[in-house]
Amino acid sequence: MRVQSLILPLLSGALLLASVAAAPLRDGPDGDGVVAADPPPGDPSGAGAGEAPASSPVPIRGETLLLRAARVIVRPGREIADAEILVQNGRIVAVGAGLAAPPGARVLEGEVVCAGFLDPWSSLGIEPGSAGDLSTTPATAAVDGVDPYDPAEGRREALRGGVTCARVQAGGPAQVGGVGAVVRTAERLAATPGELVVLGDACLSATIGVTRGGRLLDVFERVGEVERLVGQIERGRAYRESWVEHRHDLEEWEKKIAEEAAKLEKDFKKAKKDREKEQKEAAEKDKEFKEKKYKEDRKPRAPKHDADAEVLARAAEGEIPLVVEVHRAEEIRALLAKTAAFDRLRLVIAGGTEAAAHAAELAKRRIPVIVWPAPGLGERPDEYDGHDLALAGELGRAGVQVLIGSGGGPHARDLRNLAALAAGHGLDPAAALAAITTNAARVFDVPDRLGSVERGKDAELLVLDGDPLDTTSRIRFVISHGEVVVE
Amino acid sequence: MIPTIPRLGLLSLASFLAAQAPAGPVLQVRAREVRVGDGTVIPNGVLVVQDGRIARVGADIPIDERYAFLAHDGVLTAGMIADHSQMGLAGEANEDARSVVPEARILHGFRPAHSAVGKALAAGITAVVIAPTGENLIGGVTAVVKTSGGGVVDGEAHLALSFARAALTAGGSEPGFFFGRAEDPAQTPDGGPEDTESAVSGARYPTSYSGAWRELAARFTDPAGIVAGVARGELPVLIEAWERHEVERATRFSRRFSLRGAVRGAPLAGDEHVLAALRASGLGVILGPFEAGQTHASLAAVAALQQAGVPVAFALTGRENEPEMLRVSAVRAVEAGADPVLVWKALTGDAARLAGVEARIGRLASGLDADFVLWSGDPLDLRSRVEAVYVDGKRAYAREGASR
Amino acid sequence: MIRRLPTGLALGALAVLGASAAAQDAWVIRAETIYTAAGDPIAGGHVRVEKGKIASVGSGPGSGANVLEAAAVTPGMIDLSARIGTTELSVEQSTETAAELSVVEAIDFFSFRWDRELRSGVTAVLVSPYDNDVIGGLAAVVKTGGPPTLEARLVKEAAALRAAIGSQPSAGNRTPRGAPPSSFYFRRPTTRMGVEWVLRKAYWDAIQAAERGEADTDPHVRARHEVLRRTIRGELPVIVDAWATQDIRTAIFLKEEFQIPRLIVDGAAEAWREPELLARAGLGVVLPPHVFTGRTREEAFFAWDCAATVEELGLPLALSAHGARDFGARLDRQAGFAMRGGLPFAAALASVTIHPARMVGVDDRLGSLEVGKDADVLLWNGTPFEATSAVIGVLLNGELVLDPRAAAGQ
Repeated sequence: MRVQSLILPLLSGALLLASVAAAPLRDGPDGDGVVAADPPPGDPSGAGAGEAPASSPVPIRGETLLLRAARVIVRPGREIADAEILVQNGRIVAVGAGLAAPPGARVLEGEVVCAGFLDPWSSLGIEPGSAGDLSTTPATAAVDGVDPYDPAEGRREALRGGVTCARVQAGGPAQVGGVGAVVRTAERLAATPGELVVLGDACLSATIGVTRGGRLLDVFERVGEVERLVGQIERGRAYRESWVEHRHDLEEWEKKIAEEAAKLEKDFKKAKKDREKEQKEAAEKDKEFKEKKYKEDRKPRAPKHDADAEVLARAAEGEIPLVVEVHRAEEIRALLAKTAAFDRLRLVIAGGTEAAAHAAELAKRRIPVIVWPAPGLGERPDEYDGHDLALAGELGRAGVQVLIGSGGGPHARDLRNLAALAAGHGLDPAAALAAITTNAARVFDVPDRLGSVERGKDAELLVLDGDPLDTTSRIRFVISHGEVVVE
Repeated sequence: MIPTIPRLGLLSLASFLAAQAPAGPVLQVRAREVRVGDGTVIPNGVLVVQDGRIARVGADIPIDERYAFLAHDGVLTAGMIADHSQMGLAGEANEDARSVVPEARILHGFRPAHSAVGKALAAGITAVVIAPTGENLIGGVTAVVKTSGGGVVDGEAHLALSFARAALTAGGSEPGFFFGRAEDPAQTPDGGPEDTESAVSGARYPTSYSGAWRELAARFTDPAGIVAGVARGELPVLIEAWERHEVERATRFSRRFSLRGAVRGAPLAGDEHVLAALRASGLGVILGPFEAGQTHASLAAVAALQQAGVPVAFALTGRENEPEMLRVSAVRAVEAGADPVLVWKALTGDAARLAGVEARIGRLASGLDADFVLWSGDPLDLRSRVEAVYVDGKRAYAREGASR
Repeated sequence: MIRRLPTGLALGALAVLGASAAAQDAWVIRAETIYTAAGDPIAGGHVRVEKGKIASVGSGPGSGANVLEAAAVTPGMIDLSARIGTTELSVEQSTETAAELSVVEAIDFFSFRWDRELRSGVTAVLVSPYDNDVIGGLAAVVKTGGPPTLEARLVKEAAALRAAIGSQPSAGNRTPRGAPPSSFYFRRPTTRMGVEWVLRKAYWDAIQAAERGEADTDPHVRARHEVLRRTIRGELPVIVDAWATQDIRTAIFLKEEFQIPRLIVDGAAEAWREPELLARAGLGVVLPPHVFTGRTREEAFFAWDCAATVEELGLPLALSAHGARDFGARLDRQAGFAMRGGLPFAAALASVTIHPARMVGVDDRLGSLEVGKDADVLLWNGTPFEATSAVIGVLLNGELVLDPRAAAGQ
């Protein structure tokens, strides 16, 4: 689990709130959770499962829902036939066959129930100015750019398309775009940050540009960008080390101070006498009295606080993943070579137009790739936009974990279509579904909350009349945070 | 004039062939599902191809072992038709020098070997309408071409008109850009206002909606050349119009001069007033391609038009290099509430009808060209892939790694 | 009556009422004061509306089933320079003198701005082509509401001829670098003088063509000449965009040179500078929206008492809001501003109703509350044009398009 203590002071209030809300869950049961468990009918708070403490800022919300389907896709590859899912207070409280609806529960029926889609690469809900901001730094937090009152049609459309959550990042094609967040899509939930933000610090994102200021960069410049990025990571690591050293020094100092203090305590009378004598002598000789100096008086200096380096350090130490948008084989090669020394770094590649050239190494180092197999997702300034429909299949066959995203734009609606297209062009269908549910949640550290239909997870659910990736099947209900938001 | 196929003769030939021993090469295809194109689905249906045309389609056709036979564990449909594109034109879809070029034939700019054409074929598109982009008031004559073999279905499909802003602002004729370009007397459209007081330097005529209406009305009031054929109803029109008032104007113009054909553009065709105007005009609508950020209103227009009985087809304009966009556009329309059977018609039969080539392509029926696609599953399920494409009865594309 | 609705439901109620109101073709509107714009105000009176027309106006409560109540009632307002529903594509720039071209085929009735005008109480506007040409073409009077078709909206197709004096038609025009300015190919005016020359030449050509006969001329040019001659005969007013003193003077000289009986200056911010000249010429005047600094286009200074000055000269006066987005700058407020500059109430009312209707010849149908005229009626919650008053109800062609009961929350 994460080290939260250092980052907390750096981030915004909204983020803090989200972290606090999320924290207890991270310690919750992380198992399968699929049991016909005891729903607490008498306990409307739904806290019977033990995950939500009384201090949780999340209010009691939504109605009690019972979802019933011929096929419940717990997660890709694991299904239950003719099962029910009980949703209370924004969470899944039970999954199993033969659950009865508690009194007053609303029953929703369909052919298939699966987890709501999580777009792993989006700027949905980010205020447009922030989404294209060229001045972002590592410490820039995407959550600060989330506009809860954004009336954009994109959010409604995304929900209609089954995308209930998205990993969003701010910043344009800047070198380092800042801290990305996992947020909910639903508009009507947007009023409170705690509901909107699932995880405020989901990743650090960066871009290796193909163009800058409309000019095409040559290969040396692009590899130079990789070097600068790696330099930044190194800076983070050095910063973290300086803090570790500082803490070590501080401990030493405190120990010595304590020792010295004890010594002084012990020899208090003698020391007092000596001091008085010295004072007296100084007065007689008309000299200035000087207090005795101890070398322990010099408290070790803390390194200068650096918010950017702090975030870079978290990425360098693998506390948060580092998502790098990079397209060409040369830069991917350089990135892989230069980051090999950072054994805790959790690298994620976004775009990866030519990633197939390095598929074996990506598979070996377990580096996920977020592809964007998208015809018609809008214009990008360069041809290296990862639009190749067959890329996902090629990477998947080589054993690379593939995620499918909508390319950092505001149009998450098509996520299901993209996954279906990837499946049509060679990606294993289960992998295609995992690419927008379970695996996306895992890569961005929210598997305990999103991505699968299990007890204790957030109630982000879809009820469909067919397979989730069959584009001829319709999404009948979308449930986000326990509320029916599309029907 | 491009000769059109004598349809009656063909039909009788086909029925003759069905009864007699075939004289030419025969291909028999059985598929898990044969979708004829009108909503009819034939399980384990058989398609018999003779001399590049469809001889028979049905369920209970015995396989003649003397001839080639192919069993496909998937879906067989007619090839898709992109009803508006600049495919293979290499950017030469509009004659920039003049705004009125009725006699221009876009077919002369078409390069069958262009890479986009092959991509379209691999995506299951067997025919495309090539047309100007609407930057000319009268942009010329469109054509329907095949994506394999260089075949021309119709070299005179429509006359392309434009009520769009682009027709009035193309070529730098935007207001404020009138600095000193020499006026070329040749640019004054013949028959247009002989304006001895013309003060504009080099800008094209017209620059206003009012001027466009007057110019087009003048040409249809006293029609000559190919316009005369259009005015007599022999040739349909393809009118580019985007904003709602432009579409309304196009429908009014079309009614006034009794034109038939389609409007291309019209993203807000679902608006009740626009819909009413379209319905009254009898024009079809060519929509798309639908981008990721397409508004819900424009996606929902497909369902609204279908409910009102207005024929719809899809364009691939601007996305010629990403032909999957055609199917994705259709899927987006289905997601927004359109009926899948009608959407599939929009990709095939209705597309052929709006291009005036329904007697040649667009359905699986005896006598029509044997242009068909073998899919791994439902073509509107984006997981389904194209396994093979046949054009004029010949295999034109087979997926790498596919069984045949 | 409708029961009291929570504020949140008011909008929904409005839609419902709008739908049901469409079915009603008769209304009785009662008000503390009826300002008819055709005679003295009527205290405690009514206006009865039937089948889209005004059936009766008078004192007393009137009789009828569908009753609406308001503090005051006026005719729908008319803006001769609303500048909505058209773009730069409304003007044919392949010529400088497109007099024969009508703007009607260039109007976008789907624009959201129409509804904004309608709800602010403007029920009819004069739509003119943009002023990129010296003579832009024929302007039309249309209603601001109803189905978005020309057929449903049009009141009068050729209501005025639009022309422009000043820097607008020559803006951006340059002679080519290095080419002689006398070149055959560059005749577009680049200066005020050039603009004025084009305008005068158009008139001379029209007059000479009539004397000489023009059987051989191009039909478009023939039509153009005829339109210009109609303005000389007084059958058609000319509305000229002219803001600064020099442009207003040019308009006056033109009017006098060609004996154009009905000439209206639009813009006319500096109409206050030379009142004697203005009075001598007998111009119609359309004033622009007020600005606090007084500075308008063409460096013209728009004085607060400009409207009052024009009114004192006895000239036909109309006010315009130029399609303002801001609530505080729409046509009712313009009337209020003009009153602050000294314009009496009755004149202010006339300047947004019957005067503009007369200036473009639609006063047989619009501009006042008189029996037989179109039922374009405004309901106010207080004295019109006061800062504390607002239009709370609108009837257009007898249809209730803004329901006062929803606004009042009754």
